[in-house]
Amino acid sequence: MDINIKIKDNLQIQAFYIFFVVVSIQIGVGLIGFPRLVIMETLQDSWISILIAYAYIVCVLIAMILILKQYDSSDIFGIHVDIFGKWVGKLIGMVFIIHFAISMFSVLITYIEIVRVFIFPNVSIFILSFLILCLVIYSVLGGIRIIVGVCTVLGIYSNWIFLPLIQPTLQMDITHFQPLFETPLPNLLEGAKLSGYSFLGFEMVLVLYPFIKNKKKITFPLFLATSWTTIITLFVTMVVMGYLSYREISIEQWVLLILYKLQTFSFIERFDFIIVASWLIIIIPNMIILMWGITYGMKRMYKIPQRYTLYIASLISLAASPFFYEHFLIQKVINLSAQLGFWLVYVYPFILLPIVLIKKRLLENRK
Amino acid sequence: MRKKIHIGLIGLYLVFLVGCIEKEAIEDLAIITARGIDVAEDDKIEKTVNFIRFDPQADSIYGTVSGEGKTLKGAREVIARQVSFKLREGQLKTEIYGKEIAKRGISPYIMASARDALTSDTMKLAVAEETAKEIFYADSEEAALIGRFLDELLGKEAKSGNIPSSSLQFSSRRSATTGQDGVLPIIGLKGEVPALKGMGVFHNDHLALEISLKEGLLLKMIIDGVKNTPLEMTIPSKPVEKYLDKSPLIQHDHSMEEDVPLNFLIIKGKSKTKMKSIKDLTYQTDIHMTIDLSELYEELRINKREVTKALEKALEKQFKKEYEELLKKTQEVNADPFGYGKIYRINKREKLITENEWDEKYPRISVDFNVKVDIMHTGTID
Amino acid sequence: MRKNRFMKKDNIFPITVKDLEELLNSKFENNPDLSISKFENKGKKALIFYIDYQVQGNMMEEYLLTPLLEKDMKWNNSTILNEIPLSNGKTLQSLDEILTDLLIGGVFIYVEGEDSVIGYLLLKKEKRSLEQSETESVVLGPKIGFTESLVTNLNIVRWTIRSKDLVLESFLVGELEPREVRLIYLKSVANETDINTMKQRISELEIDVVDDSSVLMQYLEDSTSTIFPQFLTTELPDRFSYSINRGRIGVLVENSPTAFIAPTTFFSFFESTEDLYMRWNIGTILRALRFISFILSTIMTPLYVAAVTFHYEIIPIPLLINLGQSRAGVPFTPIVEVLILEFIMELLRESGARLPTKIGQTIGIVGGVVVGTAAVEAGITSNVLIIFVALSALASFSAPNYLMGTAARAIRFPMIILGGVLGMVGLAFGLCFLVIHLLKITSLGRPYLSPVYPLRFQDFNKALFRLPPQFENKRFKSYRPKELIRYSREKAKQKKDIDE
Repeated sequence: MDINIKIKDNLQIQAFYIFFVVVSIQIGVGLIGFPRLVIMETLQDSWISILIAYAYIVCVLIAMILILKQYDSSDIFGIHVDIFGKWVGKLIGMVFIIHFAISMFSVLITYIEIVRVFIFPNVSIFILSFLILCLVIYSVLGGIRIIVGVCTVLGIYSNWIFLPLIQPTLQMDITHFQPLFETPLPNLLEGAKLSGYSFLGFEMVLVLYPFIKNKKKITFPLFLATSWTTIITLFVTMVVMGYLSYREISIEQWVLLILYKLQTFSFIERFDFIIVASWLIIIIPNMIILMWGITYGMKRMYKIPQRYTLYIASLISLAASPFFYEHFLIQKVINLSAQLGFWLVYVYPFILLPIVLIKKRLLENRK
Repeated sequence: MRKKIHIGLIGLYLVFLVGCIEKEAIEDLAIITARGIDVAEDDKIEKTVNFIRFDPQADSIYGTVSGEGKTLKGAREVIARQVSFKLREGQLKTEIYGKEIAKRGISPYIMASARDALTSDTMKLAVAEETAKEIFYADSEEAALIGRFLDELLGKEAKSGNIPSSSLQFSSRRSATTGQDGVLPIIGLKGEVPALKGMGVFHNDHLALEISLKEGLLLKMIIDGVKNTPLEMTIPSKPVEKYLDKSPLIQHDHSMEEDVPLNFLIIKGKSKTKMKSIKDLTYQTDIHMTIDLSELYEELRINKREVTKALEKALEKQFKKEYEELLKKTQEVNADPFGYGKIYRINKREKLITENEWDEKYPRISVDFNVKVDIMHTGTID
Repeated sequence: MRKNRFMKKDNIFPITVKDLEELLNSKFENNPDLSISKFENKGKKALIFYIDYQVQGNMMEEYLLTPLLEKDMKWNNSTILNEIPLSNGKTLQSLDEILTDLLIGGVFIYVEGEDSVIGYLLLKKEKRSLEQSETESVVLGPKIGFTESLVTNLNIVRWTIRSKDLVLESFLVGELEPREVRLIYLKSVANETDINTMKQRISELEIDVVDDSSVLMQYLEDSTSTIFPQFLTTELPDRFSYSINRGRIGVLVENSPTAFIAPTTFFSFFESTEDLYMRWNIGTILRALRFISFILSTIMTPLYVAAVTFHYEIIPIPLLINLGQSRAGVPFTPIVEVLILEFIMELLRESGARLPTKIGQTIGIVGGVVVGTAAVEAGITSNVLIIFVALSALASFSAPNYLMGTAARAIRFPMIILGGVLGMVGLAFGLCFLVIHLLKITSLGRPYLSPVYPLRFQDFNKALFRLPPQFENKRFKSYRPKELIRYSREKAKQKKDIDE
């Protein structure tokens, strides 16, 4: 397995598209339930938690970019093999793939649960996941350029979806934000950790890096993307906080969708139905990138054709999804995904970075 | 070729799946637009619903049915047995609680509605003057389509600023916020027509106090602020007596009556409350409103700044008096519709307080209502 | 090497006149259309053969036969070519070439003993005169349309694009019946890769007959399974030259009034040259109208099905009552109701298009009004739906390109089924599928959804809306023209001071 890989010219993408990729993977189903979790933990000061999380993510991103910059054109799988050797390196690479797989699966089952609660209580899980996976297969078959395209086009849509929150924004109760700065630091950090799950996804840059044409320009779109997601998350959390009372937030499972219930137009009485349905448009890019990460990782490490991994992974997801119909079981998967993501994305880069740097220093000295 | 197989598979599957989800075609549904909840005998609940169903044979598309049961779900079953259409609550517009139920506490019903993802959060809540059932079965056109009628009536009133918004979303927010109690409109019958009668103030989900619509407006000024709302107020005649038009050209009663009724339009009214002392529980509420005088019943000549000044003074005094009375009333039943508890919480620098803590404190608070009235226009007559 | 019947170079000359006559007669199965006349002069025999009605008789008499027989000259190829006052004479050796030219109106002279025949093309062609285009009509701008004659079309193109850079490359496509295909582009502007791709695709095409340019187009397109057209067809020389000027490649086929243009993007199907002739702000509004109507025509009836079948909650009460009352008597489920009505609509449209214009109009009106009213009164459909179906049919006509309008019609049916099976979720699924599908399409290898993806902001003002002329100084970057700049922006809008 080569450490550095050369990607064909017609498969490379401009660094600018990283913005859309990262935004569309960061904004997903997590956002629907996220405000509640963080508000339960830190109340009025949730915004501090989110900002702490943002600051930490900036650090993680810097670490990631530093790691990637040590190589000409390598991804996380290549770097692992380079540093830890063939066996351990591939094992850690496998952990990343499992992380992608669990994330993808949790997105799938969470969305289906939301559809079952809000629109069709009796819809068959199997059929919904079949349809969603069909879309995923259809676009992953198109290759990386199509995937980035889906993220770009549908990603533009997913930012539109926050516009109908105007009505609740205008009717916020300012007293809900007061008093400020009353939360002790441990709670704030706990809230920041909770935010972490919602912000997951930017680690995809570790896999996408070799595909970027102008690698030097990657920093700006990457930071722009995380900042944009932070702004949206912050906005949504603030509206939830300001609009709903604490007791309502504590009993509602998907607080964000409650806000959409309020918005009415002269020709549409209930907006939440449309939002839940069109949340599909938000999760599709999400799942596509993760699925691509799985297939590409397998190809990179074990030379399995991407097509095979794609079909097998979809079949497994399809077969497994009907068993996850119970709310608490789904929560368990989400928690598992969050835990794995936390250690892998927020802690592991800081372990990897010194090793990479030391190794590089050693190599230079040897020369 | 491969693509075609994919597309074909999806298509085949879809055809296969037709009928997988229960269809809710509108012509099969009885769409409930209003729901009334009353207390019945033997600890039972009586539920009355007003619905729309599209029966080509029936004269009217509206229908009203009621049923009793131990729980809401039980009552619903009884009702469902009387209707040949599928009962659906996704378009519930109004919910009316009978007075007895309101006194026992409406929180379980509000929470049940809020929990159900299918109910609309813009639905209006109201309390019946006596029982909800009697409003539903009143013999008038408005009562027949009570759901739509009340939805429009309460929506209009809330928009024009007469009552605080009574939608589920706002009511549940107000009652769920510690340090504030809910307010709901009271619906009664005027003859056979349902009409807005007053406001009910709740204390921890129990109906505690009934106030008039005018007091409701005063309350709204503090909760939400008002805009373009007409109001009638009576001020004592003493301070303005000297400006009475004494001109011999017009004929007038020689002695002025004790009170002068004034009718005016509040262009904008808003309030700001701050806590003066957390230890003594004293507050200061600044209320500022700009008004247009629209009707005067006495021959006052408003040709000088002094006259409006005097009128403003008199109005301010009157407002202050009424606010103080309202506060006193609510303190007697320990219900805080103003939301002074929220300000207490903020000033205590605490994220949450318990209801009990505020219940114990509320009767002891004192508020300094600082009302300021600006008369902008007095009409075309000098 | 590929075999090509008409490219064979078999030389049968020299041959005796008698043998040639027999050979020709055997090739034509003694067809009486072939006129063969023998002449003799100074001991030399000559054979003149042609197809009677393919040849301009008087021209032949006057300029060919008279000089040949009356002038005193030696009969051999070089003198004949010199003496006869026609400039397009050529010598041919291959029998296949002779036969091909004979069919389209060649007159051949063979002098015994020579090693080739002399051929003159005196073709007589029946063609219609220039008319206004029937399929694409415009309010503003040139209205003339292409005709079935390639020569006329080339003439028009030359007149509309009077540039010395204009290249009109010729290809012969079709093995049984070769037809001339012209590749038209501006060599200083058009992208070379695109030209080469197009040339390669045309020259590698191996079919017996090209029925029409739209058939050729289907052979040349990137993807065959999609319902979206990847090349833009037009009958308007005006629109054709607009595209050529912006660096795209046009193709004209003999005997076809339809030209096609490549590469294209999805958005270019909503462009009309009228947008350019209007003021830029009006043009923007019109283009927005077309986009909206495309979306409406694909989504309106599916939305109706989804809302009425599953989501009664999203319909406001006053509308719900109207819908419910009109639905109450209808015996079908919403999806069946919509499919029936859409079917009737398509039927009306199809039969209207097949009939002569005047009867077609009558059928449209009678069908629309009578069938519509009767369907509502008979309780087969609700009257609200009639409005939706009619509106979405109307909206699908607003696309300036007929093929895109047809695509909009075709998308609607799967969307209706999706809406009827899975409601809003089904519609969201359908929309996602559509977007992914559009992203996957390419036109001559260029992305179809450009400039939205790949994002090219500088193309937005051409593809999605319009800006004042001084901002339109660049060509579409999506088509990768050789020269991006059309004119200098500064010079186009030099501002003068007041009273200068």
